[in-house]
Order: sequence, then C-alpha cells, then structure tokens
Amino acid sequence: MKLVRTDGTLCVFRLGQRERDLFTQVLRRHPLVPAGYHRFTRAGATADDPANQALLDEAMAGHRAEHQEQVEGLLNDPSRLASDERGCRLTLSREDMEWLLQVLNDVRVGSWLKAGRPDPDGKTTPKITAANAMFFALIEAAGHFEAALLDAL
Amino acid sequence: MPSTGTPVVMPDLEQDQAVRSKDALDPGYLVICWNDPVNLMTYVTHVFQMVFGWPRPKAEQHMLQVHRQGKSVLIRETLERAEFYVHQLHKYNLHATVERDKG
Repeated sequence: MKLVRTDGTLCVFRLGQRERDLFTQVLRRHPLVPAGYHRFTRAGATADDPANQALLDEAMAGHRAEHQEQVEGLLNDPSRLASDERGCRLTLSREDMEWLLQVLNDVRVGSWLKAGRPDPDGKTTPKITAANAMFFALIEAAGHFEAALLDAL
Repeated sequence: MPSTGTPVVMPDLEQDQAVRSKDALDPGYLVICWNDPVNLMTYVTHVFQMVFGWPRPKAEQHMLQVHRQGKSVLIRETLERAEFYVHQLHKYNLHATVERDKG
C-alpha cells in the first residue's frame, strides 16, 4: 500500500492485486471486538456505573453498525476503490482514513483477543494452532494497513 | 349539543430546572489509558492527538508512559467530559476507563 499522491485533502494509494485482496478480506472481518469488551471503569467511578456501562455498550454498538455501513460503502464505491489489472487505486479523504483506522484496529484488537492475547514482551505466548493461526495473520495484516495510513496522515 | 373544539395546548411556563448532580460538575474524574500490547505506538500517539487535540510531543509522552508504566492518566475532568473522552478512546479500541480521583 503505497501513497502515490496527496493534495492535503485526498490521499491516493496504490495496492497490488494480492494486497487489494488482503485489504478486502481484513475489512470484511469487521467487527471482531466482542460487544461488552470495553469497560467504563475498573475500580468504580460513580454510583451509576452499571448505567454508564450500558450507555457505553449502546454507543459502541452504534459505532460498529456505522462502521459496517462505511466499509460496505467503500468496498462498493468504484470512485474510491478502483480495481484494475494491477490491483487497485484507493482514494481516501482524511475523514475516511480516520474511520478506516478505527475499523482496522477493531480487526487487529479482535484478532489479538481471539489469538489468546499474545504479548511479545510477555513470558507466555499462546501456541499457534490451526484454529487461531488466521488471527495471528490478521493482526499483522491490519497493522500493515494501519501503518500505511498513519504514515500518510 | 356543544361542539367539540380543538384543544388548546398552553405553553409550559414553568422554567425547567436543569438537575445536575454534584458528581456531574465535580472535576474529579480521571481518564486513564491502560497498556495493551497489541496497539501500535504510532497509532496510540495519533489517537491522543485526535481525541485531545494535543501536539505530537505531548501525545508521545503519554503513549510512552502507557507503554513503560502500564497506564497513563490522560486528563482530569467532570464526569460528563470524562465519559465523552473515554467513549472517543473506545471508538479507536484503546483500553481506557474512567476512575474517581481519590488523591
């Protein structure tokens, strides 16, 4: 995923064929972070913590639904994702890049959870099995696209 | 038989009183970001810049504190503002919570 042009408002990226397929597959995995994963508080902040948690869960469900619509919109919009024989040209506004980062990181964090929360600095690393190998790959793939977007911002 | 007239709805003249608890106005709530080995350092820095409008050096300082010390207190705010910030951080899937400042 290479940035080929930017005018400060729009960024144009070029993706090869395999990269385009991988990008599409990563986006199709969204959402991966399970509902209820995020907690409002750890130690207890107010007497209304359960209500605040419910509010948070509701807000996150709304964000997930909105992101799913945005993903579908992007994947079906030839003016932004234009495929050709060499791969595709991806044209994104700053706003697009921001929600795309959130979507990609949902896939990265969700894959990390499903892979057993591997920690490169930790003492224990989950064993890679046929069942979780795909999630290790998704962590790396989502991170690759995130890094490309962050470099362009 | 008297005809039925259209009911007239009179405006509510009583002034609404905004009822806000003491908690909501108390700037004693901390937004804390906790370490998550999965998030890219550049990503966390970017999120702090976007959510709080911080310059890059300040965002990096907090990111490094999260990375090295396991957590960073990002801001001390009213409950309402703290909730807003923590929701924004969760949108980016950072591990953040609201805690009462007991200090």
